[in-house]
Amino acid sequence: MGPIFSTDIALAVWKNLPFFIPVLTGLIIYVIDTCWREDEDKDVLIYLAVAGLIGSVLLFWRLWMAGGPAYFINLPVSRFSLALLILVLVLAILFVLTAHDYYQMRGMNVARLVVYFLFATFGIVSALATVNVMVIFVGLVITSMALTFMLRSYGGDIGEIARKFWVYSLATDLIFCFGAVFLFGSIGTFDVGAGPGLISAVNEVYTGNYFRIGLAVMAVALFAKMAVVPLNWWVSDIVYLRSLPLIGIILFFYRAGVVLVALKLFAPLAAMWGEFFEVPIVIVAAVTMSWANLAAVRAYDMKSLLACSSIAHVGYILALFPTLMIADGSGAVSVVILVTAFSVAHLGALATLQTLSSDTADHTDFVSLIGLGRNHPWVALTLSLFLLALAGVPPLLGFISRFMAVRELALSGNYFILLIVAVNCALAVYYYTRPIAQMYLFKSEGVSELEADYPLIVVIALAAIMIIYLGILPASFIHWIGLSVAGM
Amino acid sequence: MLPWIHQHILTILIASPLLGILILALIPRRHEEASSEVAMVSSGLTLFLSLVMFSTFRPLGRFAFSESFSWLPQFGSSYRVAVDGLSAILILVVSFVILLTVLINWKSMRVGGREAFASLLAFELGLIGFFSAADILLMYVFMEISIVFLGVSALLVSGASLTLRRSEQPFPPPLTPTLSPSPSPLPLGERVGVRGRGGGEGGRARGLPKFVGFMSLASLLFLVVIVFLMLAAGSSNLVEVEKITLAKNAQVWMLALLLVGVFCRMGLFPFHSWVGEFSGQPRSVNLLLMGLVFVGGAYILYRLLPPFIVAATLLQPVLTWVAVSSIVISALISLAQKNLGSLFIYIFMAQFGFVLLGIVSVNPQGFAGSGMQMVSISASIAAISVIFALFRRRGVDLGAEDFKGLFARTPVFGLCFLVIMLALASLPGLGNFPGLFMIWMGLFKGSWVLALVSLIGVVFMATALINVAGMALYKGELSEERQRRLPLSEVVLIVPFVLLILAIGIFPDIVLRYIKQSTEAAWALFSQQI
Repeated sequence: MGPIFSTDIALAVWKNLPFFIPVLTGLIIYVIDTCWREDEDKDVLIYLAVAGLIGSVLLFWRLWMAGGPAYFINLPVSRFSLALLILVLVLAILFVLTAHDYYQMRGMNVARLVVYFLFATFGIVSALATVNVMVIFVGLVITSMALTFMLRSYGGDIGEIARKFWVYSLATDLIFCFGAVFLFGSIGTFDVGAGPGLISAVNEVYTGNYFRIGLAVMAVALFAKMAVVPLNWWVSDIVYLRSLPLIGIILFFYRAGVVLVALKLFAPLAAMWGEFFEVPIVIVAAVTMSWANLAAVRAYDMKSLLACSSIAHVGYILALFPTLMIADGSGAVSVVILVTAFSVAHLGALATLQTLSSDTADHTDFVSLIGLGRNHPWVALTLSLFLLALAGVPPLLGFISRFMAVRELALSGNYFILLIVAVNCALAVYYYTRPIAQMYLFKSEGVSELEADYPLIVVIALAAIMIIYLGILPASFIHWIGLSVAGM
Repeated sequence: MLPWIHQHILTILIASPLLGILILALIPRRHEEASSEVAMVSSGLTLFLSLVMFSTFRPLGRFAFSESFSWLPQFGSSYRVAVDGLSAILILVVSFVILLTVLINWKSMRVGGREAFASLLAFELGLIGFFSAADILLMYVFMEISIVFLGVSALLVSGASLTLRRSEQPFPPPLTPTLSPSPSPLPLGERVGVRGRGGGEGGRARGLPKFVGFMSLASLLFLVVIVFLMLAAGSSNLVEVEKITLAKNAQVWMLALLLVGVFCRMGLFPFHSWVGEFSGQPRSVNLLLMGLVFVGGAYILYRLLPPFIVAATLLQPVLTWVAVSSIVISALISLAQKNLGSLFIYIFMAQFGFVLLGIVSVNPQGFAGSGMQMVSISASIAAISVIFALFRRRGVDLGAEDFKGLFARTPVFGLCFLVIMLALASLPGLGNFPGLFMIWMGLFKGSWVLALVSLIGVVFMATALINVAGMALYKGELSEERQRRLPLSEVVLIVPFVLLILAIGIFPDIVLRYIKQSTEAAWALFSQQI
């Protein structure tokens, strides 16, 4: 009888540890939460979650720096995946911190939200780690379930929204699974990173067609999760939620994760689908950004405005998908930069709005912004900063992402979509400046006191620093992403 | 220490408004009155540094004070700054105009002025960076910073004035602050906007969207052109970009995009509608800031033209017609204006039409004339703004009637006003004439018919200006309020401008030698390409 705990097992556990830290942390928090009394202060659990996520980031960073092979349940993990995982986990840290103040203010149990959020993060981590479509499917299902439970745990009148979200997410997951099966039928493996053998198999007409049908079905599922027009109706349900952290997590974190999953899945295969799907993707991207920007012009509430803006950003990202065919991988770098700008700026804007919330209501309508420039200059300044970043104003990160997008589109010769993007960006500047004008042009007589706790201030400050620093000195970040893409 | 400062003078110049912004940010709200002083010291320091830069300007080759640091090596972009004669003189103009803006808003912005002054300084930072950039991507970044803060500055200053004027005109309608979560049923345009034509509700509603729309369209078009040039040159270094040879087709398309952007930014016909909306009743600050934006629009065309010179030569007849039409139409519109603010805006638009005409005439005289026009119009704009500010301070509106009897009340001030009017009408011996003359010389080489047609614009402008001058000379009966004289201390403010206008008119070489240093180098490049 050999030793129960062999070196091999220890090594396997150690190698997989960074991937499982979010879920393990979630389980620990769940156990602690169950053992503690309801009335006990559970703030410390959020910090435990943050510590777990930071640990995971550090371990992934170490793996990235080592440049050596990483494995997730025995499947190889590329350097590109590691970079995306680091990015997602950093975002996760910022998003989970936004919930602290909000839940405390409403006397709610933040531990449950944190647990479900960590499970959702684990789902996204799993989906991002490999190019095995079945593992991606399982990751997406875990995320959908965790987010649904997170919605239900909030209580109140959002049970209906949670049910709809669950049905929608499950349906899209199943569609993804359907596509994965097609793919398996065509190439005999779920692993789309199978190398030259895969390419020669796909080059055969019969196999190739089924392979592409499988990819198209999976793309539809992922596009639905990304809220591409016309599959965006579920976003309006989420906007009605009376919880800004939940809106942020679902609209900006979850969707950013799904976009990265799509990038991770489709970028290495661009040569195989590019010429077939370029036109449909460009059309969908054009419709998505145009519809969302036109809808945003009519928005009178910051939640709606940011939701529409996020859909428009998905349109810009989709417009870049055909550029993934460019051999040097600059298209993938642009997408990652755009996703970073999208999620950090939206998170920052939402977190800033959260400082205006009281224990009974969120004050996100435009009327509530009147006079903020004078009454609460720092709030107005940071909100303006994030909105200007979303508008693509230099020297903020939004500009770099916009510049790279325009560069890639010009480089790939997609002049039609370049024109559409240019017109949409011009339109977008208008609606991003409306709240700014509201804050600075007019005075409000009644000045309410604002109280934001330190975690929220830290999130806003970090997001602002990221937006400014990466906008002014983006070279190292772009270089890092570029190195990672090279390892794809 | 001094050589180090000399070596990095442009970076120090760019950073000096930033220092003012940081200090303004640290001023507590209860000491907000100090923001005027901080802004004045900061802009004064910037002007001093500009003077140091200008007085030590000795170009070795094409540019002087070159500095370069790696910024975005992935795209061949660097933080690369350098100045030639034209940009050096424009930086001096910007520093001077911003100090002037601070001074003329000294009293009116003592309350709520912290943000307004900070945005003015940020605008200055953007413009100085824009004129000193020798990298087209960096140039774009600074240009956008200046445009964003132009909007913010103009809105903040207008906003402050609107607050004061609320008792006179109910604005905006739903101002009652409420924390109700229900969205407001009123269209945003009725609550948010800059003052529109005639100050009416409709004007306000249209003002902001139009300004933002035209500016962002121009920005995106510039971005597309800049990205295209970067891809073609493999770098965004201005010197390398100027040397590239593009296919004729590509040149035509890109020049068309660039020109649409320039027209949007300069408010030239047919993209001029935002100008009237933005400044239906312009304050002096709006005039100053818009003047600088117009100069910026002309400057970017001047800088980015070399790679498109073949297309510019090909399209020259069309472009010249467009520029001449813009001049004539703007001048014609100015004739119909009852409000002096609007009148001058259209006069300046017509004058900037001449700047465009000089550039698209594609010859050395035209180029040098355009550079001269940029400088002399800036001086005229600054002078007119001071006059408006002094009158506004007394509650005198900008209706043409309000200027009746100006000469009789204050002869010295009236004389200065008259000189500025005549300079704007391009009278020989005054500031705007040398530039205009050179542009005409350039234009005559291409088409004497168009040169004559452009004269119609000058005639319209002169008619409009002489009408105003006539009002000022009016000697009829004046109310007691209108007979109030301006104190000598305020009259003194305007005298330096008049002297400057006279100096440029009589001794154009004091400016021209700097401009020629820039335009002759540019022309040498063009000659190679053609």
